[in-house]
Amino acid sequence: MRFLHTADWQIGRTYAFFEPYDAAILAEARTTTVERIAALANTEQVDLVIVAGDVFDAQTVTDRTIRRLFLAMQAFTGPWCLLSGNHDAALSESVWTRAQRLGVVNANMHLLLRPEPLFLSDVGVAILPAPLTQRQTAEDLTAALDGMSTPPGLIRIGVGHGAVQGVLPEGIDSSNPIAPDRTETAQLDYLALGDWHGCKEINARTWYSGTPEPERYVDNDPGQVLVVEITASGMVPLVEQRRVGQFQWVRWEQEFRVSEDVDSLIEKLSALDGRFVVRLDLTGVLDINARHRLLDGLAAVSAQVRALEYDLSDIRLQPTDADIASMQADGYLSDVIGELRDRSALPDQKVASTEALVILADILQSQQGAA
Amino acid sequence: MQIQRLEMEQVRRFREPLIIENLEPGLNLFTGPNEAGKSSIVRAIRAAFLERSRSNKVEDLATWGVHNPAPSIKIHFRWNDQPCILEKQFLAKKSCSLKIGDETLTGEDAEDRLAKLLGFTLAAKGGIRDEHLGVPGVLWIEQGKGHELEEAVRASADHLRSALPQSMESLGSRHGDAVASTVARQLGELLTASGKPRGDYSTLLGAISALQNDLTETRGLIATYREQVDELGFLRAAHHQDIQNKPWMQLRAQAEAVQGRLKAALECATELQTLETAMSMLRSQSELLVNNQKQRKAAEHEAAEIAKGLDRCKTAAEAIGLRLEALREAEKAAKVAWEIAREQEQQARQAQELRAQNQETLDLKASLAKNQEALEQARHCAARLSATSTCLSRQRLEEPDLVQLRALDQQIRENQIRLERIATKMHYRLEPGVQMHIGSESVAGMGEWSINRSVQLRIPGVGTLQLSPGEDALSDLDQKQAALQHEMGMKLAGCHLESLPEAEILWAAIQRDRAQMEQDSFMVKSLAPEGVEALARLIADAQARLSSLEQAFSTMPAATTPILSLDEAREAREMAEQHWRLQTELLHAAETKQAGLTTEMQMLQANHAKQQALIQETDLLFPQWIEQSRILEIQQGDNLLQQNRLREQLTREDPEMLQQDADRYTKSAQVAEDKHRERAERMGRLEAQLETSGAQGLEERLAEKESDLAAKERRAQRLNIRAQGLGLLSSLIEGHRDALLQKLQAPLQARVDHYLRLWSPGARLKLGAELEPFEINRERGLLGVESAAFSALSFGAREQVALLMRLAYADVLKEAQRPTLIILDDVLAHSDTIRLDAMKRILNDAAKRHQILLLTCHEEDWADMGVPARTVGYGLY
Repeated sequence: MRFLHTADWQIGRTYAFFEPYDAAILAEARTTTVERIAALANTEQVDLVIVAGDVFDAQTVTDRTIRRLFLAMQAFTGPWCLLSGNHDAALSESVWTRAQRLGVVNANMHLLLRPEPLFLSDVGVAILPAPLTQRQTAEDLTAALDGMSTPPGLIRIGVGHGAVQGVLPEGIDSSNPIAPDRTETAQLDYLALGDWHGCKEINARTWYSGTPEPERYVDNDPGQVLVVEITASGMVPLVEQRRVGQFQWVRWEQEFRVSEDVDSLIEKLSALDGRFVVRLDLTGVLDINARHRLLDGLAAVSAQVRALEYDLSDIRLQPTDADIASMQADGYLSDVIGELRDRSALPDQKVASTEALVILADILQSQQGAA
Repeated sequence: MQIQRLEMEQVRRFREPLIIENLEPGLNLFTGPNEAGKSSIVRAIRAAFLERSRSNKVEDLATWGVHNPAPSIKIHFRWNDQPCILEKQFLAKKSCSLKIGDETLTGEDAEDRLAKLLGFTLAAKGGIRDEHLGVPGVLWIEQGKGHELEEAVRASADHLRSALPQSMESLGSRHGDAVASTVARQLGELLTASGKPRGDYSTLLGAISALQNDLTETRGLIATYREQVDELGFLRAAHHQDIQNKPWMQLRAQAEAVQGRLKAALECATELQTLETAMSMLRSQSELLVNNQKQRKAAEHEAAEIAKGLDRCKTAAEAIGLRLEALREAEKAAKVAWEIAREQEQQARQAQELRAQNQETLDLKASLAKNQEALEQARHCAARLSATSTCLSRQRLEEPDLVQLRALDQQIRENQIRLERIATKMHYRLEPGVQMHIGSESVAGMGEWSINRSVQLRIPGVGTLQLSPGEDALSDLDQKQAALQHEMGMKLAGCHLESLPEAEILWAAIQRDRAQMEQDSFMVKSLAPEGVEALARLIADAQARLSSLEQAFSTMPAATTPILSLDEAREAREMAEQHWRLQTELLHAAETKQAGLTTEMQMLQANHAKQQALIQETDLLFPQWIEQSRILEIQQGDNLLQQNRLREQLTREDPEMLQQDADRYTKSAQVAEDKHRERAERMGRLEAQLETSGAQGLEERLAEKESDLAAKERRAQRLNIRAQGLGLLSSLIEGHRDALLQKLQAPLQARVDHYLRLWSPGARLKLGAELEPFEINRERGLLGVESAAFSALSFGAREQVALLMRLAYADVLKEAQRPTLIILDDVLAHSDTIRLDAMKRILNDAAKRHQILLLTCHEEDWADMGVPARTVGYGLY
C-alpha cells in the first residue's frame, strides 16, 4: 500500500514581517498547497493521506479558513487521517469540534483526536494515533501505541507529533517528547511524525515529512511531502520525497566593502523569480552612488520575487569626495556633509546622520534636476 | 565725504537765499526752536542728493506763497580729496549738475553717479521711497524715526554687505538657503514646531496606539477563551465521572441504612422512658411505706420519752412541797425581826429631834440679842443720816459756784493790784483836824489816795479840787473792776452769802456733813443689809419661833434614853428588811415552780395518751408494711437492670447523631445531584460561549492585526528616522550657516561692539542674516544674562542702539572707502541723562571719522559737545 505522509500545514499562519499584500499571498499559499497535496495523492494513487499534526496554526482561526481547508482537501476522496498537534490540540473545544459543527468533515476524513486505533481494513492498515489533547505535555504520548493491539495482518502505522528525543538539534522545545525507538516498542511498520518543519529521516521507519509550504527562513529542507510504500506488514517502507511547496524562503547576508559588491548582489538577486521569498541581511559601507544603485536594484528585485525583506539601517553611508562634488554642495553645505560623514561613524548617531545624508543628497539632486 | 557749504533758495521756510558755510569735518550742531527751519535744511540736503530733479513729487520743497517756485540747492563737498559741487533746481527750473574735481556731470548722469556714490536706488518715477533709500536711509535719521532701523537696514543690505570685506556669496553656499528651506518644510510635514509628530505621522502613531490597545484586548479575549476551554475540559471529565459513579446514589443508600438504625434507637428510647415512669412509681410507693414505719417508730419513742418526763416531774413536785413549809416559817420570822428593828429606829429618831430643838432654842436666843443691838444702832444712824441730809439739802453752795467765786476774787485782786500800780497817788498830810472830803469819803491826817477816776476833793474852807487820772486805760481798768465786783456780788447773793471767806467756811461745813452721811449710810448698810425693817421682821420671826419651841418643850414627854444611835438603828432596820424581802421571794419562787410542775404533768399525761392511741392503731398494719417494702425493692432492682441495658444500647446508637447522619447523607446526595446538574448547565453555557467566540477567529484576527501593527510600526520607524535625519540636517545647516554668518559679520560686529561697550559694558548685540540688529544680551550679575529681542527694547533704548548701529555701519562703509555723512535730526530726545551722556561719547568718537550734522531744539542738551551751535532761524549764517 502507498500513502502520503505530510504534517504541519499550519493553516491560518500569518506573516507580520511582510507588507500586508505579500503576507496575504503567502497565507493563501498554505491552503493552495493542500490542494496540490490532494492532487498529488490522486496522481500518486495513494491509499490514504496522513497529516501528522498542526493542521491548523491556531484554534481560533475563522470559520472561513476552516471551510477553505476542507474544501481544498476534497479532490482526494480516499481516507484522510488528520492528527491534532500542539497548535490544534484536541481540547474540549477546539478547531476540530468547530469543524465538526460546521459539517465540513466528510466521511473519508478521519480526525485522530483520541488515542484509539483506527482500522482501515479496506486498505489493510491500522492507524495508531498519539494525538495531543493538551497544548503541551511532558510525557511521551506515543507510549500509548505500545499497548494498542491490532488484528493480525494489518499494517501498523503510528502517527505522532512532537520532538524525538536526542535527535533534533539542541534548543528545540523539549515538550511533547517522543522516544526514538517507538517503532520497535510499538511494533510499528512506520511512524509518521510532525512538528519538525524540515523533512527528516529519523530511522528507516520513522520520518518527519516537514511542512509542505515553508514559512520561515530555516534551511532544513521543507516544502515536501513523503510518498511511503509498504508492501506488507513488517516490510521496510520505501520513502520518497515529493516537492509541493510553492515558495522558497532564502536568507542571504551581504557585507558591502566596495561598491562593486552592490552590483554582484543585484546580479545574484536578479536570478530569483516569483517563487522566492527573500530576506537580506545587509551590513557594511556604501557611498551615495552605490547606495542609489542598491536601492534601484532592490526595487527591481522586489517586483521580481514574491517578497523581499531587507533593512538598510546597518549600512553606513560614506560619501566620497566625488559624491560631494557631484552633489555640488559648496560652501557650508559641504561642511555639513563632512560633519554628517564623521557622525555616521558614531554608533549612536549612525542612523540619524545616514538618514540626514540621504535626505541632503536627494534634495541637492532634485535641485540640480530642477536647475 | 564732507559737506563744506550749503546754499539754498526758495526752499520751504527759506524764501531768501540761505548759506551755511564752514561746516566742520566732524560734528556740526544746529539748534533752533521748533519750526525755525532745521528740518527744512535736512529736507534740502535729502532733496539735493536723493530726489530726481525732474520729479514732480517734491512740491513740499517749495516756499509757501511763492508763485511758480524754483527751489534751488547748492552743496559744496569734498570726496576723495576732490572738491565737489552739487547743484540742483526743482519744479519751475529742473536742473542738476555735479562737479567732481574736473569732471562735470549733468542731468541723469549726475544723479546716477550720486546714487552709486551714496549707495541708494533712484526712483524710476516720482519721489524716492523708503525701500530705495539704501545707505542714506540708515545714516540720515529723520525726525522721530531714530528707533526704526530694521527696514532701513534691509533696504540697504546689499550696499552694506558689499562694504564688508567678505561676502556671503564668496563664502556661502549657492544652494544653502534653498536646502535649508526644503529641510525645514520637510521636517514641518513630520513634526510641529515643538517637535511633536503631526499630520500623517501623528495619525500613524495614533493608529499604532489604537492597534496596540486592540491587540491587548484581543489577547485578553484569547486568554479567556483558553481558560474557558480548559474549564470545559475539567467539567467534562468530572461530569463523565459523575455519570459513571453516581455519587448521590451511594449517599442515598447510606441515608436509608442510617434511617433503619434510627428507628430501632427511637424504639429503644421509648422503652426506656416507660421503665423510668414505672421506676418512679415504685419509688414513691416504697417511700410511703418507709414513712409509715418511721411514724410508728417515732410514736413509740415519743411515748417512752413522755413517761420519763412524768416521773421526773413527780419527783420534783414532792421535793418542792417539803421545802415550801420551811420557807413559810422563815418568812414569818423575818417579818417579826423587821418590825422590832423598825420600832427601835423610831425611838432613836425621837431622841435625835429633841436634841436638835434644844440646840435651836439656844442659837435663836443668842442671835436675837445680837440683832436687837444692831437694830438699835442702825436706827440711831438712820435718824442722824436723815437729819444731816435735810440740813444739806438747804445749802445752795455747790462746788462749781465756789470755783467761780475763787476765780472772780482772784481777778478782782489782780485788777486791784494793777489799779494800785498805775493809779495816780495822792499823798496827803493834813493838818490835824483838817478834814478833807474825797468824793463821798472824808479823810484826815496823813494818808495816801489812789486816784482811779475823776474825783472831787473838797476841803472845807478850802474849796474843791477836781482830780482826773491822766490815762484812759486806768479808767477802763477801773470800770472792769467795778463789773467784776458786781458779778462777785451777784454770785454771792445767789448763794445767800456775804463774802468769799464765808463761802469757804460754809463749804468746809458741807464737806464735813457729807462725810458724816457717808459713814452713817455705811453703818446702816452693814448693820442691816436687808434694810432696817427687814432686820426688825427677822427679829420678830425669831421671837415667834422661840416661843413656839418653848411651848413644844413644855408639851414633850420625858425622853427615854435610846439604846442605839439613829444611824445604827436605821442600818439594823434595813438589814432586817432585806432579809424579809429575800425570804418572801424564795417562797414565791417555790410556789410558782410547784404550780408549773402541776401544769406540765397534766400536758404530758395528755400527750402520752395520744401516742399510745397511735401505736395501738398500727399494730396490725406494721408487719404488712415490711413485707410490701421487700417486694418493691426487688421490683426496682429488675427495673434498673433493664434501664441500664437500654442506656448502653442508646449510647452506641445515639438517635440524635443518627438523625444528623441521615440528614447529612440526604443533603450530600442533594448537593451532589445539584452540582452535577449545575455543572451540566455550566458546560452547556460554556459550549455555547466557546462556539460563539471560536467562530470569531480570534487568533487569526490577532495575527492580522499583528501584521498590520508591524507594518505600521515599520513605517513609523522609517518616519522617525526621517524626522531624526531632517532634524539633524536642519540643526547642522543652521549651525554652519550661523557660524559663517558670524564670520562675515565680524567686521561690523567689531564696530558694534566698540560702540556697545560705551553704551552698556558687557552687552552683546547679535546681528541677523541681513545685518539687522536681532537680539541683545546683557549681563545682569547674579541674575545671569538677560536676552531681549531688539524690537522688544524700550523706545529710548531702541533709538540708542539703532544710533550706535548706524555709526557702526558708517564705520564699515568708511572702511570700504564709501562716503559717509550722518544726519541726525532731533535724536535722543527720549534718553535719560546717563544714557545721553554715553551716547554723546559715542557720537563724539564717531565724529572723529565722520561728518555728523546734528539738529536739535534742545540746545542746552548738547552744550557739552565741544563745538559751537549754529542757531537756525536768525540769519546767522
